[in-house]
Amino acid sequence: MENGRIAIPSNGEGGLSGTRAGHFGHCDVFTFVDIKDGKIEKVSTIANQEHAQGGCMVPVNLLAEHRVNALIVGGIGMRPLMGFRQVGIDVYHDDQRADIEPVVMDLIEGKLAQISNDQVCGGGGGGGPK
Amino acid sequence: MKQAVFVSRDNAQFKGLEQMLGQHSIEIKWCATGKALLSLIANTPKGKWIDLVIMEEELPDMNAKALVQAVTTQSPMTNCAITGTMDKKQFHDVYEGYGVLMQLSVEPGQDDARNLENQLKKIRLLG
Repeated sequence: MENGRIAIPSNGEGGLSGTRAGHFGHCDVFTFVDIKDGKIEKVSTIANQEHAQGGCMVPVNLLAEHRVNALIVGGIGMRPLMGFRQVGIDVYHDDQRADIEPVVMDLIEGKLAQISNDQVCGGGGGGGPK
Repeated sequence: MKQAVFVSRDNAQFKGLEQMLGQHSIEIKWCATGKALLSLIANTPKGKWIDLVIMEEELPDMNAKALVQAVTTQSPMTNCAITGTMDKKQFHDVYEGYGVLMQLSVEPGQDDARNLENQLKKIRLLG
């Protein structure tokens, strides 16, 4: 990834040295990492909004409003995944590593894969980062 | 104007919900089958979507799970609620990941209307 904004669902205060939240809808904050010319330009965070049953589109709209280009998740449901695709946010998957920085670096270096439909939560889908 | 669609063979059972949605100036449409709903969604102009679908668990041409899966793929911004009799765990297991708003009683009453109204406010569909 050369340019753009990456969002990572995060625990606590988030930040590049923070840890990832297992389920994006229930994270405390989103860490934003802005990339310019393949390098980290800026790191910021925003608070997540209340997650109500069926409220999958609230974070989708929140991240779209903040001009996010890519999201890294450990787990996500089919509906929010479809929502992110609809608003043009690419969703990447890593359910192994709890730390934020290594997955961000992998995404920048093109080593992280986009999530596939059979990796979603529910119906035998995946979970969150270990 | 926001839109809601009931998918049902029996419109009368949804009077209470229809009244509540009408109070919020939501336009109501009706479909008798799942295929009719999917056709309606397919013909919705790009950039617009049906805000809410309330469906019966068993429809003449498909069950609610199949319809929710199809709606999720075609129109993820559309919120779904389903009438049925599953217990909480079963409902969660069947619909996990599909972001279904809630299960309503088979013949939704005032409590269902109030609960649905509250849920729609929580997800900011209603002001």
